[in-house]
Amino acid sequence: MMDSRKNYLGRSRGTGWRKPFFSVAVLVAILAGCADSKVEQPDTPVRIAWAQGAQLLVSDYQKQSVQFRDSQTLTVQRSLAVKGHPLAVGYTQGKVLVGNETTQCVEVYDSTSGVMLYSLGDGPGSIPLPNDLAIDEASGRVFVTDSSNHRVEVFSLAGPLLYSITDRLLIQPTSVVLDAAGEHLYVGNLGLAPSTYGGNVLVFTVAGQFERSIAGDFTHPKGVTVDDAGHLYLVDAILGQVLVLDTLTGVEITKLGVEPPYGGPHKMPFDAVFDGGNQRILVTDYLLGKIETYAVTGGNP
Amino acid sequence: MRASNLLLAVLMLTLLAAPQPAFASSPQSKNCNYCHKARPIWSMRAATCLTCHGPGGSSSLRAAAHIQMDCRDCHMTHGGSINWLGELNSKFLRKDVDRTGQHSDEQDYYSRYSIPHIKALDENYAQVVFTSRGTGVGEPSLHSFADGDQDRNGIYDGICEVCHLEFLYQNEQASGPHHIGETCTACHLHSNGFR
Repeated sequence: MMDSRKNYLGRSRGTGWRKPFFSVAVLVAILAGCADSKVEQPDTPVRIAWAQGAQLLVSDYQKQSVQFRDSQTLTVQRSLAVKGHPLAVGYTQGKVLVGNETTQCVEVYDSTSGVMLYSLGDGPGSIPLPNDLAIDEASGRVFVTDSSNHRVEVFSLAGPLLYSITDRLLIQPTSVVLDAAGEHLYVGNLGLAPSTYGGNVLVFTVAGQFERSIAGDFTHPKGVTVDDAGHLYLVDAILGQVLVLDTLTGVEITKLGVEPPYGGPHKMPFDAVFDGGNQRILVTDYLLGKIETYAVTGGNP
Repeated sequence: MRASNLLLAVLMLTLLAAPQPAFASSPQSKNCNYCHKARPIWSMRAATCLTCHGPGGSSSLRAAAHIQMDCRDCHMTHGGSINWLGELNSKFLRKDVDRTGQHSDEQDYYSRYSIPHIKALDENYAQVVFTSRGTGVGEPSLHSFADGDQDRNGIYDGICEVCHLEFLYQNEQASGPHHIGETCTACHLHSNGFR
């Protein structure tokens, strides 16, 4: 009679499967532990724009990618890898436009495959600091702030440079937004010259004619956006807040966000976009590593 | 020449010859309000530095914060500091670094990101001597990022040594010290937060 404690091969029952099982389990645990020990790179969102549908485009500077995020949950759905540090970002007609700080140009990618199709203008090296861009789909024009060269360059979506917007007040353009009517550009501008140290927002027609300047209690407008109720949202990176201005008068209406206290979390809001469907402003924060939201109720911030 | 004039001349030459902290050479240094208009001096923070040295900034010198630290934890803002050996630290580095206290979320960060090799800190402030960028760029190993107490004064005062002492030297018996005297930023880029 066979010993019930042994199988037909004469080996002890009950232990044969446990040894390899536990060995594998231990190995998996070790590997999982090793995976957890990798240093996680936090998010470093800089620019934000609308993609198609309810998706947002967010350029992540240190991760060197452009993320497609759900506009409701703000979670990353997929990423498009960029060879370099992305700044400006935009979407139109199935294409993703990326201002690449490393290659110093605006690159155009296929949004589905992630393949780079071409660059705007003269390609790499032509735009040293492509900080921000705005797209006029009606006319097929792309407005790009060329921060180092004190100008806004206007390209055809197909690639060729159409013209440049310059002005003696345009010292270091950092951000640009096109109003809903497609008639005016609002350009966030850092002052640099000794006599004009303050930042401002310069308003141009899309043809490049200077109209007026908006100044206020801000110095470093890193991001600008407009809503559909005549408000200009200006992200001041040093203040750590979003200023809400009247687009016509430039008068400050309110500030969004609380200035971080001394010793508080490191905060650097960078860019903003208006979400008309949910009446809110979405603001990227490079140091906090997330997107913050502020309600705009009934058109009033 | 009168003795008093000679003495005055010698005194002036001595003052001029002594290493002086240099004010920033950037255009912004010509206008204090470029940084200080926005907020009072006591509340300046990393975002102030990163508007020029971070993404899309005008400076060619790119930087990212090291873990949860502030730029001013290691750097002075208006010029370098005279270190405890009487020399001017390069790259505006402070003469001492606070390794504890204000980074109250340090342990949370370490546990989340599993950063190893940070020794238990015995002192609040560590002296820093930084007058060379190391052998990786053809400069001396002495008084570089981590020179292994090359001057044998008993103080590990490299800017990287003051926190990462164990990691740099704990493998000394096995594989040898970790690139002592070399240029740490050749691999651990400042533009990537020294990762």
